[in-house]
Amino acid sequence: MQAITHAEPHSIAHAETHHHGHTDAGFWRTYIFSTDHKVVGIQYGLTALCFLLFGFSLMLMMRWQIAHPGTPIPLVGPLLQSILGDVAAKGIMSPDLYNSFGAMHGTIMVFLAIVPLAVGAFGNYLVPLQIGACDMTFPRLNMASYQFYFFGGIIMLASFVIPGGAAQAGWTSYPPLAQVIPTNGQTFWLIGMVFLITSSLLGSVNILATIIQLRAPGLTWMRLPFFVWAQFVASFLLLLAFPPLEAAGVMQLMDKLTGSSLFLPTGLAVGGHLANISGGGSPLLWQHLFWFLAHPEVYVLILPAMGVISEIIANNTRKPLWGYKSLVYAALTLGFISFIVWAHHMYLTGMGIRIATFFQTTTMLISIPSVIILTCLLLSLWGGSIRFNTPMLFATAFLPMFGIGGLTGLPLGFSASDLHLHDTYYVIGHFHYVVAPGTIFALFAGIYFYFPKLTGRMMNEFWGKVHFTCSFIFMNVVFMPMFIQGLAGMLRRMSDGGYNYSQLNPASEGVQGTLSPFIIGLNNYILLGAVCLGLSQIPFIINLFWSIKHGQKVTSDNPWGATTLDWQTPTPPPHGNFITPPTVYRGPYEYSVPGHATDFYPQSER
Amino acid sequence: MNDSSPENFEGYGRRCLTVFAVVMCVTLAMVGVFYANLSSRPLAIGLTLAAAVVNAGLVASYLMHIISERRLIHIVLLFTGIFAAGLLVLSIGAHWSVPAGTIH
Amino acid sequence: MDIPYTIEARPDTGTYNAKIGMWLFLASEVMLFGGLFSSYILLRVGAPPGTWPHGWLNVPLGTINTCLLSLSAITTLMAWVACKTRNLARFKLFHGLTLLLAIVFLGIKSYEYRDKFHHYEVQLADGRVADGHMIENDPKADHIVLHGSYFKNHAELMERHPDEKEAELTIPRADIKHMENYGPWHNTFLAIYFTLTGLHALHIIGGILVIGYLWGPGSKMWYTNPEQFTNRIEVSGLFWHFVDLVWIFLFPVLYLM
Repeated sequence: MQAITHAEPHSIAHAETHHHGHTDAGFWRTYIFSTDHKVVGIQYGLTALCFLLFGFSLMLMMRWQIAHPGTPIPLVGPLLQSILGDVAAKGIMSPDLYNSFGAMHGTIMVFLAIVPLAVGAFGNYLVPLQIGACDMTFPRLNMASYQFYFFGGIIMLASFVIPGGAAQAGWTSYPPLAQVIPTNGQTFWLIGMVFLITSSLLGSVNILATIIQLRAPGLTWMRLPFFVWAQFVASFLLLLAFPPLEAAGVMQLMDKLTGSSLFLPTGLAVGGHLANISGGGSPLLWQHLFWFLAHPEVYVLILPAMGVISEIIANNTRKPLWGYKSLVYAALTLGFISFIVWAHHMYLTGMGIRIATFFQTTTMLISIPSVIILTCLLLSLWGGSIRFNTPMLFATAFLPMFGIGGLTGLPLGFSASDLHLHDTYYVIGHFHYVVAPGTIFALFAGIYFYFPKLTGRMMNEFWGKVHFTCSFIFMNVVFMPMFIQGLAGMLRRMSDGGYNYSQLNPASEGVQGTLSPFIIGLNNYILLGAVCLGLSQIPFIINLFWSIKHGQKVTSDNPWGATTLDWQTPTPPPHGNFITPPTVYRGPYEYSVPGHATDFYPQSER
Repeated sequence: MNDSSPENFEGYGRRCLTVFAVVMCVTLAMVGVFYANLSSRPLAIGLTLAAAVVNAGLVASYLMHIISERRLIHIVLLFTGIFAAGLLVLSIGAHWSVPAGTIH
Repeated sequence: MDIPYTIEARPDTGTYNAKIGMWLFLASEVMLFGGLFSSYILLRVGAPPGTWPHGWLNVPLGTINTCLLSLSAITTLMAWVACKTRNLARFKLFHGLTLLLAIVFLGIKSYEYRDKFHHYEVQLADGRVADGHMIENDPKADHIVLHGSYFKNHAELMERHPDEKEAELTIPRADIKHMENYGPWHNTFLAIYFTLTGLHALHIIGGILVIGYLWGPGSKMWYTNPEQFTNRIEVSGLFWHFVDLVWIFLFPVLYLM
């Protein structure tokens, strides 16, 4: 009601520009420079999926090098040599190239693929729809946000082909190493990051302001779908955690470009010689500022995924989410605590023991809200008449997969056990379980679930199930052995896959604690799993594009029988989303309400 | 501040000028502390920082109107303040009680 | 459908869209400068005793800049009040003043920067240090001329007082072991000084662009939609006050402590 009465005093000039800009806009205004949140969301989605595939293929090449060190990469080896030159001579990946692929795999997956997909694509497309708004609060900033992201991505990609290649010091870019590697890749990385941070700033301000200001009449905070809450918390994390990394990035740029020593300690020796620097800087400072972002970033990765999952679970169990309020408060607590756990990544830096104890405590505390969320979602399954369609399969698989990822994190949160596990494959297994079969499964679920809203057609169910089954099996083939390797002490970031420290290396004769042939042999299984995982994405890619034109047409605007406002729009939603401004009368998950004609009771139905 | 008749802003303008005058005086006092060259450096730093906090508080509450904003903005700023303070205190605290012999 | 609350406040949140957007942006800016100030403190606390400089910056110029920026904060508010009371001429006057003050601030700041780049620390073969502004540095000549004074060693440079006697020093090149000007590469204090003030100066430039736009071409909106224009002035004013606020901390932290 308020929206209607308040809409009147709008000036004519404003209304005119707004309507005029889009009725007969040409191709460029409609698809490339669009300010419509749905177009921006789709742009984000497609770009991020491309980066996801690219980041994955970097990893595939690295897995070949790990399993078969020093042998030419089949199929792509010659191509690699022709693009990158000597670092891939004869199609063999050099250690330098391995390092830069490793650094860029992390950077691309986190900053260019998952976060833009989870927040940029899903957040942009769904948040205004779910809160009954016609667009984001600042549509032009929204467009700018995508453009900054796009250019940040271009800069990152360009750094592969500059002389010396891309950044090589890991996605964490720890100085002094990051600063003394004599290439410009690191500078590109830093400038690219500044673009990405600007993009995320604009995006998060937009999502927050939209949720705060544009909720439909009657849509009180406790009637928001959990997805909106998840986006709200994730955007707050992006808003407040990214700037310290921007500060750190600016400082590292100062070091790289002006030769200052903000992160370089006194007495630093490079290549056996005392570096010609003033010194006095602190390498640890970078780690604090970096992890102040990067730990909340983990929750930016996982919260939108949990949001998508809860929508799908509530919809396909045909019953309300169990413990909606607990979910909301758990998400808020999670967001808050995630700001004060960052130094559990730094136990081995020689941090003071009292502060280490503090960070251990908060790290254990943060598992409580995570477990609450997972438990609520698990209990939501209880007694439901579950529809096992493709989105629901991904959603149910998310629960144990994220569970494994979360629980294996506990030993890393204690400084005593972390001493052994730090920087081993165990860590890689842990966070990949959270992000790959966790977040990516949730995002796959979201794509299958919302595809009919975007296009008016369903994705093919059979090939969806094939995609799910293969992905599910091979994800585990890839990541489960890493726990075993890590517990055996196999370090990450080694371009020979641990061969040097194994019993296979003749020089290790008589050395204690070397890696057994079994541990090294697991690399072959992981490579096999990774290749098969790549192949299992082919049905998805074909399905995605084929279904746009040839998928089965939906017969209603609400094919899944959902309650939230996003399904009350025409299909696909036009510019402005709703035909009449919606008003909300009830909570988001009113499924199977006794006495109601259908088994779902839409929020906007009186 | 929604009523836009000129009389309502006379008191407002006077308040702004008062804030400006106080900020100027505190700034001069701060510079005075610098030139006084106190024998105790911690005391000088404490006094200077206290003066800066007073100035910042005045500008934020009166010139940026935080004092008359609604709860929403207060909450946003409260959490921002907590996290900024957390970053400051914890990253510096990490250098406290480092076990002997583990120089970094 | 139009985006609501672009002009009038939403009743339950009490703000219009742009204002909440600006406050969220400022929250993120607080974290940006929070990170930088934390870095400053960490670097300073971590510096070995007697290696952190004191009194290296020009306090009178810093004080003048503080006054300029505080005054510009007031003129921004007066410009907003002029908009509220629908007085375009007054608005133009006060916002013009804001612009002028901001540009003078930048001028003084760039003079200070230039001063640092002309300031050399010259380490002599006999262990002493000559420190001052370069007057003659002809690569072909066998000497340099510095306006400054001699110090026993590098450590003595850390504590500077405004009343030091300076003179013109002619130093033969043969006596010079190493010389370096006061750029960010010179030591950690100057590195963080240039980072902090440089980023702040970028904010000033951003502010000048926005205020200049609203003062010039952007003020056309006054005739079509004065209410929204007034909101724009308020929101850009918030940003400008924040820039002032950062300087209120930068000045004592870098110049006085």
